[in-house]
Parts: sequence; structure tokens; C-alpha cells
Amino acid sequence: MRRQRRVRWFLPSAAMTAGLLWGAAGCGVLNPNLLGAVGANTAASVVGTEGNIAILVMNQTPVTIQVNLQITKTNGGVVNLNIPVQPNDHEAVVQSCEVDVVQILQASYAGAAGSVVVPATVSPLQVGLNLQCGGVVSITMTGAPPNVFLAVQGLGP
Amino acid sequence: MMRAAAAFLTLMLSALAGGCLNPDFVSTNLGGLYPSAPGDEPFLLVRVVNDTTATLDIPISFEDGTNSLPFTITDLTPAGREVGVLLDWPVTRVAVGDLENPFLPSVVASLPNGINVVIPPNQYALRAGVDYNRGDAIVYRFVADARNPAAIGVTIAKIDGSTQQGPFTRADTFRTVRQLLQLSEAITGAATP
Repeated sequence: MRRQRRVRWFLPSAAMTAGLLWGAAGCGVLNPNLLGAVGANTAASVVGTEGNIAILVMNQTPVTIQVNLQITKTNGGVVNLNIPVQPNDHEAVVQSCEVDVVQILQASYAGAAGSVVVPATVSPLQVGLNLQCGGVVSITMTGAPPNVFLAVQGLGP
Repeated sequence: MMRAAAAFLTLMLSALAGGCLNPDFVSTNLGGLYPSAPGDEPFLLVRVVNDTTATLDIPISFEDGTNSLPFTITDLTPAGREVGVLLDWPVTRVAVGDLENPFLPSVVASLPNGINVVIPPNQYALRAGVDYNRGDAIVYRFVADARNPAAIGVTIAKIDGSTQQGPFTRADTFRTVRQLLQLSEAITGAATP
């Protein structure tokens, strides 16, 4: 008798839950990754509007460096940043996730006869491709003049 | 009926805990996807927002307890809108413009008609332990203000770091920065915050 009552309650509640979850899937309540795992559409990408992207410039050389970079926003706006960093020090700037592209324009160090540009070609970091919301662009300069090297990496969440 | 409701609630809570829900939906209703401030990480985030029609050069001045240090954001256009600087803790005082004199013209505004003006922020320096604490985010917002001769004013807001301590569903940007700095410290021996 007791078991029959349990079954009688369980079936409608399970059906109701399944129905609600199925409906929720259609209005964006369920995680697209979960839907992908069970074979549904995975096209929806998750790019939060409240997150940040940090750009961290680390100077591991004994001289002052400067990194010039350009950030293109999703609305087409551009922010140019010139970031000088003291020897063995670092600087970090933060942008909200409304960023489209981060591009290193030039990196240089203070040489004996003035500023010396580090010869490097760095591909732009595209949000959604090689950089994600919540990620960090790590820019590191190493070595000592005249052998100074630049390394750029997009670290995603 | 009570049991059905209980079963439904249990399932929904399980779904929440297991990450089954859409992060956008969770963010809208519960928060917790990304931190808006460093929270329990050893930083202070200072963000400037340009909600004027002018292009701004904004000097951010701060003290780390011994030295007064500058960081200047140049050519912040209305479309570029915002940029933040992540400062290592401790930061004893912080201001846009001059730390000592808030009425010193120090922010350069290039107005849409081509005229450049230098405006005072008219905001006193903020102090650690009084106006902000470790892990907070300070937001300086530049807005149109008819009371100012250049028609640009500054307002200040704070995001309390104690509300941003995670865990976060998607990513904790500030924790990644701290970890990278610790890695750099291991290589160079330089001190990290």
C-alpha cells in the first residue's frame, strides 16, 4: 500500500521535472555544454559580459622595457596602451570582456643609445579564438641586452 | 504533492551544483561566473570609465607605502570607454590626478570641437582601510557635469572585494595573474604581492 503511494507520487513528479527541464532547454536555462554532451545543439558560445581580461607584462630583464599594444573593443572602439615596466617588475591592466582583439604593436627596451625595438612578430589574440573571457594575456620579456626576447601567450580559463 | 515539490527542488539544486545550467542564466540570476574585483587576491583594481564625449588622458597616482607611483592612461576615447589597472597590494592611497591636491588640473580632455582642456578631478585621494580594502575595485567614472567649467566631472564607486571571493564557475582572472607572478618570482627572484 505504502509502495503503491510512493510510485503514484514518483511518476507524476518525474514527468513534471522532465517536462520543465525540457522546456528550460529551449529558453537558455540549461548549460549549452550539457546539451552538447547529450547530443543537442552546441553552437551557443558563452561569453560573459561581467568578466575581465587581464594583460600582464612581466619584465625579467635588468633594463626598463615598454610594450605598446592595441585593444579593439567589440563596438569598434580602440584603446592604445603604452606600458613601461621597470627591471624585474611587472604591470597589469584589466579590460572588461567586451574585447575583440588584443594586438602587441611594439616591444622595446632601454639600450645604452636609446630605445631598442625587439624584433618580433606577434599574431593578434582574438577573443573566442585564442583568448577567452576571464583569460590573461601574458607578455614576458627575458634576457639581457642585446639579447632580449619577447614571449606572448593567451591563457584561457 | 509535497514530495513531488521536494523531488523537483532537489533535482534543480543538483543541476545548479553540477553546472548543468547555462552560465549566462546563472550569472543573471545568481552571479558568481567571474569576479568583478580581486576579492581574496592581493590586488586593488582601479578602473576608469569614460562616459563623456571627450578623449581623456588620465593619470592614476598611488602610493605603495614608501613611493608615490604614477600610471597614465592616454587617449581613452568614448568608444574605448574603460580600462583598469591592477595594483599590487599594499596601496595606501590612490587618486586620479594628484595625490595631494585634487584641485590641480591634471586630466587632459580633448573635446569633440578640437579644444584641449586640462581639468581637475576634484576628488580627494582614497585611503586604504578607510575608503577601500585589499581585494576591492575602485571605479572612477568620468561623466558630463554642467557644474564643472569643462563640463566633465568624476564620480567614484567601489566594488567590495569581500563579495567577490568565489569560487567562480568560469574563471578567476585575478587568481591566474597572481599564479603567473608567483611563477615569474620563482624564475627571477623578484617579489610578488
